[in-house]
Amino acid sequence: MHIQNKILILDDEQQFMELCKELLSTLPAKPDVRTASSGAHAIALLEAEPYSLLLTDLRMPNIDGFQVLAIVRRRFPSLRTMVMTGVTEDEYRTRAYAMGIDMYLEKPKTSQDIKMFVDCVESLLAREEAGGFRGVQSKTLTDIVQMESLSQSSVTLKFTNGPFVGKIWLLNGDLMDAEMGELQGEDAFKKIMSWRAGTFEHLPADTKRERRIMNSVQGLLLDSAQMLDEMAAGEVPGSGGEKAKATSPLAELGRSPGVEFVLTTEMGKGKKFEHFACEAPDKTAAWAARAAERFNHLGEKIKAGTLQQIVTTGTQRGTGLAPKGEKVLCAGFQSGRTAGQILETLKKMAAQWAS
Amino acid sequence: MGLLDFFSSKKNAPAIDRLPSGSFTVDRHGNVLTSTLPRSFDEANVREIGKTVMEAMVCAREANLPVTEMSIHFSGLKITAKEQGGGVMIFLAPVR
Repeated sequence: MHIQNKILILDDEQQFMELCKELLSTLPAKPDVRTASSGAHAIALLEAEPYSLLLTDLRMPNIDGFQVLAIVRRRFPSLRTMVMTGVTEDEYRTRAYAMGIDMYLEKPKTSQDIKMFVDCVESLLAREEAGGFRGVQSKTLTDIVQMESLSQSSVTLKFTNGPFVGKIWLLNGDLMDAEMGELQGEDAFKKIMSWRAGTFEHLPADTKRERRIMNSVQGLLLDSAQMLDEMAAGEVPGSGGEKAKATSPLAELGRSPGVEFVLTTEMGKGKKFEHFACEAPDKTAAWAARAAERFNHLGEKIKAGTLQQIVTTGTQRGTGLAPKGEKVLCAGFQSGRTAGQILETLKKMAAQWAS
Repeated sequence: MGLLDFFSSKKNAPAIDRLPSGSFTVDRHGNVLTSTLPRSFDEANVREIGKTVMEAMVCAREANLPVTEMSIHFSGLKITAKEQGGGVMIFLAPVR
């Protein structure tokens, strides 16, 4: 099944982002292109749903591109990253490549530059579709383990897939042990083998490692085939399968025009909440819950009728609150949206949420 | 006619509160400074609106959502608050 690629553009220049968005939307792969004007918002979006490619500027206020790349490399190791910046010094280019980016481009100035930029993005998306572990392109995890086993290596393989880290110990090509979180031995091995993409590194062999796996590598690899099927169905945590890529109802609401984040909570203290791409969900939920409750009471007291919506605009962003019974829908909007635009979008979102 | 008089006679019926139209300003502590609201609208209600709006704006700032303008839509009234040098100017407009 074809999965739509998602691209996240991070830049503090709104016009440049819009231009990139327009250019990339014309790619044959028809990627879903989202934008973020701050590093914090970009990280929140990446946490909310999986992306195929992050396209980032380097010079930005508060959190710069390097800081974002450092966080991304640690938390989303399999994410393709591309720097597009006005910074031309080789020092920065080298530093960015050292952080594991896939491509470094200067901001396009001519039509040829634009064509090259679009071609590069298309090429990166094609690599993303091919999957594979970074460093051994087009090789599956099974291939890696099989290669090490056949060459009778003594090595510790460390695999990272998002927040998950797994280790496999081999001694003279024999599988000694595996570990992933609380899992050990064969269970850990099968779990690691279910991962679709990520990063891996060779660590020195641990000859004193106690042997917990008695079955052969080949036998276990066959067993793991079943896990690979589950992975395709997205049933394995961190596998990046179909279910993992499926969008939540809040993410659907987040696609409304100008929306930066969506959060739902209950009137009162807002301790329970769900959110999509909200930078500080706990504080936002507390504010939304409290404001909705206070204005609800105010409406009753001054006999103004039912509270329908609250809209705010500000220098950083706008927000919209819409209560439904005891629940509250809160959405963040890009700065520059008028109160009228926010209200119109909020009404549609509230109707969709209620249904 | 006597029957019609019976239906039209509302001398003893309670008066229906009219939702106010006008504006007022509050300082950063929520004290009402000036008002163009009708005197028929209870002063306690005016203070309550000012206090609730100020609190919502302060809490929004604390939640990293600084607000310069806020509109609260009730089924019968729209309240619009605009930040002005620490205080707030608040407009009330009944929904027609």
